[in-house]
Amino acid sequence: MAVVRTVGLSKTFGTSPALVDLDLEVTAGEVFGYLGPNGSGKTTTIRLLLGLLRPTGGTARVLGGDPQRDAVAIHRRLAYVPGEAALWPGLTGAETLHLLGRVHGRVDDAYRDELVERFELDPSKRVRAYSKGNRQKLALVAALMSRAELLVLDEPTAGLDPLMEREFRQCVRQAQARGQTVFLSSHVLAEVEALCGRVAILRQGRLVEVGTLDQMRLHSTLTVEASFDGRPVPDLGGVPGVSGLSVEAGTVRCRVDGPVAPLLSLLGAAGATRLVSREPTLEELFLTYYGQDRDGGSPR
Amino acid sequence: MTRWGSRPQRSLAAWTLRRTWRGGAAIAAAGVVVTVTAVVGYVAAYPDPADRLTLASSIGANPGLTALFGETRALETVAGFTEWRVVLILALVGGVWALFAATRVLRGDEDAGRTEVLLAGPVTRSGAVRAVLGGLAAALGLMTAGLVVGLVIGTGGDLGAGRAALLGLTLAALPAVMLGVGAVTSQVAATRRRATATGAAVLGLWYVLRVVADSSLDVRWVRWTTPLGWLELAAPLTAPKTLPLLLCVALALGLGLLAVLLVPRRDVGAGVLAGRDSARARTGLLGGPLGLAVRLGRGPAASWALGLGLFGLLVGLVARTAADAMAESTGEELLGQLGIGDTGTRAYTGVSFVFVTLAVAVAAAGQVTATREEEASGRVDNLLVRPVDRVRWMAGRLLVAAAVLVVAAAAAVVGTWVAGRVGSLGIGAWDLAEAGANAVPAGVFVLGAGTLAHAVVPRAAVVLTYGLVTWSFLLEIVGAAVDLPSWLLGLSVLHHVTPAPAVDPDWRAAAVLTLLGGGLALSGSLLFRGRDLVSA
Repeated sequence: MAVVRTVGLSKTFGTSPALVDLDLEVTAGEVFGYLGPNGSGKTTTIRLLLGLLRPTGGTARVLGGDPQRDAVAIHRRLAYVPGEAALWPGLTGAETLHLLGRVHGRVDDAYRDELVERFELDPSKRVRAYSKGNRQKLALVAALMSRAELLVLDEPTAGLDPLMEREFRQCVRQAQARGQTVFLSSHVLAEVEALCGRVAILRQGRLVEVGTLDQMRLHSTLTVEASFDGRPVPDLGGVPGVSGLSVEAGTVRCRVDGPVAPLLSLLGAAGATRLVSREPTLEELFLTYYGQDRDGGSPR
Repeated sequence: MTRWGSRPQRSLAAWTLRRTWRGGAAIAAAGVVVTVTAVVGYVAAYPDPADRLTLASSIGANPGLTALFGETRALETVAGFTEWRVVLILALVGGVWALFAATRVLRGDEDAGRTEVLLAGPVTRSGAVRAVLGGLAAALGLMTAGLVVGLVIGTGGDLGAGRAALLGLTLAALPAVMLGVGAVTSQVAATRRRATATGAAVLGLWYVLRVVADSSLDVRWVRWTTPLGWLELAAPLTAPKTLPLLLCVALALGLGLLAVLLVPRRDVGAGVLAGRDSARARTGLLGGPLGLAVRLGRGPAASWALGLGLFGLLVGLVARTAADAMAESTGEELLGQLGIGDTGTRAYTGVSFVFVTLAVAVAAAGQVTATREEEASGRVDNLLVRPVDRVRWMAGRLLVAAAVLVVAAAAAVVGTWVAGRVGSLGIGAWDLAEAGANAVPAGVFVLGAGTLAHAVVPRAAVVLTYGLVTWSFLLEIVGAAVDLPSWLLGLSVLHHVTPAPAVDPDWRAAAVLTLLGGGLALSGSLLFRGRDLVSA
């Protein structure tokens, strides 16, 4: 069942398009990663899904309803954490949690207390006295304590230290185990790799890729390293799909797109003594999509 | 590093100037227009010397009117009339602008976390404050130049170029002082709102001291304790003195220096007088959006109640003295211009309650600002991503805002009534309550218009709402001196409010204002539901 579905969803601010023709589907129970560089339209998407912005084209359905028309009904069933939590500076942490819990209408009190403990939050402090990280923790607790069906998280771990980041991952895994759906926009690629089943990559307001990490890797570049122990290194320049070629001390490194058979047969014929191949990390995948290959090779 | 004028400092100063010069230019333009109309109006309304002498004897030496509008000198001359009519009022308008500008650039950025980006650059905190103050001073200089040039061109023929220029400098003196006040409160208070409120309280205190000083000849020396008194002493058009203006300059510089010295004594994002960082949770009100609005609205309500309560006390105390003086030299001409046919304590209280009406309208603009800030800061997101309908949220804010207006007017009534019992005011509690009720509808209209502006042009809403109040006020001031066409006067919200208790409240006009305000607020709320949320 689709928890979030967008068809041709678009948003233009003035004349500059922020999101163009987004087709997306998030199914119940999955942790869905939403990636993209700054300004690629991640937050715009989320604010459209929350009904805070109106689409200029296309439609969105969240939990079966229209984000604008059915905002109140939808919001009863979801929880949201913004990238930078703006809270009332004069309220204490406890007051903020009380208010947001009452506004939401449904709070697991025991879980809230557990979260406050786990995130090492001092709820007697006023919000203005909290550090950025502590404010973010407060927003996280406020969202998680509702046990909402859908968690919409917009770079939720910005400003968290590694211990708290670990705690956050634990919370997301527990949420998934309970059947909650998570829409996670993030810059922390390791976090997405660790948590998300499927990932969407956004670039300049357009969806460039969506799928499981395994699927993405299947279609992506493989890094290959072959050693020749003093034998002459063959010329791989003409092999189909090969790029980013470098030779150093009898070892050749390259990347391969598509079928590897032509490369393998050539390497075998040349008498390669050692062969290492590696799938790309999410970071490499991510960079590939932005044409910013750090090795200086040609973009895909 | 050089003490002044490193590159980042210069760009910071230029950035500050860019953000504030428009406000300064608007103040200068308004000052020139108001002054020119006062001069032209006086010459047209009182063409011959006999009329002028009548006017002078009717208004002059009336302690009540002096207390409200300042001391009169040589009202039989265009210079004397103009000085009495414009100096205090325009200085106050400019002073309020300066306070808002100073707290915005010195404190508002910091509250929003923007300052930290700057401070991480090659500039020290006190260096940054010096640079921002430099930018503000440049905006002030621009405003002063505009006033001087505009006044010399516009009124030099009637007043003399030298005097007109001096008037321009006098009008700029209070804004200079208020920039300094804003600079200091920005360092002392914990938030921008408190910095502005503290500065406004200082200005209010100075106004009250001036009223006290002008209420009786025995206490004229009190003038030396308040910059508003210095402006009167400066008398740029009738008996120019430079010492009071030099005092203003010295105070402005001293306050600026104090602000720079205070910078190292506090942390970024905190005040010298920081509030307590921890508190016991008081969750009684925090059950929903309305309760939150009540909690956030308590501070402004208390401040307005205190300010207008004190103002009421003052009115109640001096009304009898003022009325007795009016009986001797009736101020009927002026009161006639304000629509008051009566003299006595009722007339005086009626004029005073025009100011209460104005204050309530300003409070309404403040509430519109606070609501817009909830959206601009992103705080409202916390509610609207939860099951809270936008109209319901807005309705809660409006309900609390309306309550703030009622509380403010009620405090003025209570203050006047309590002091009136001591000062034998002779106006019944019911009549005072009616006058208080009469002071609210203009504020309700401003609230409604501001809410509509917030829905349609969110980023301009604050300027438009305060602009509506300022426009109405200036139109009233000008209209009292010049015969303006009635359709133009009708564009002032304040024009539709009768000066009760001097005359009976015009309940029909009050009902129309209230209904219009309600309708505007309703349409604003509905439009707000359908639009994008807009950040700062």
